[in-house]
Amino acid sequence: MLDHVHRVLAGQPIYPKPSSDFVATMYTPGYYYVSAAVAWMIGEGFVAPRLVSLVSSLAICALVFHAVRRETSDLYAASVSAFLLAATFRAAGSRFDLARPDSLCLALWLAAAVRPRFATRPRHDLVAGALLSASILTKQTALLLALPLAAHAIAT
Amino acid sequence: MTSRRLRAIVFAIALCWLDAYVAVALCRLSFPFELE
Repeated sequence: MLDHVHRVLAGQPIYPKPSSDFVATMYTPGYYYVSAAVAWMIGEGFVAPRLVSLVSSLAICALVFHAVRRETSDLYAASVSAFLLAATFRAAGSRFDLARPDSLCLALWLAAAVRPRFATRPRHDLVAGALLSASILTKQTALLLALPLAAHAIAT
Repeated sequence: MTSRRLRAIVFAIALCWLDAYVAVALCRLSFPFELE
């Protein structure tokens, strides 16, 4: 991951022909660019990509809080839901804060999923589409998660 | 135990989990080796 971030900052291609020096990972480039933007501000190293993941995982908690609060109007249920997500850290393999694209991808996808649920204007759906595209550009497996959202958008 | 007290205990425990996660993540933030 750090090599990818370094290549972005150095203006080198992320997906060159594989060589003994560098083999690109099989992820779409969103996380590399976001991490590179943070690394550009605070310097290269482990901190920048991990910071992106940490902030993303807290955003996931905030989105869970927001969704449950909107659905139930219960501040207690919303708070405990968000906190319990953090409680799964160990059970989920301690991966929330790693320098990997999973947390950012899930945060973007969840933002896209929560948005249309409470949408009142067409531009909310446009924002959801943009967030969904960003999540797919962060990790391609979000494409599978996009299918039920697309089905929901078509059906409603 | 009253329902109100039970809710307060559950809330406190759940909040501790969030605190613990953020604390662990902040500690791991600058570990100079790959956790990945």
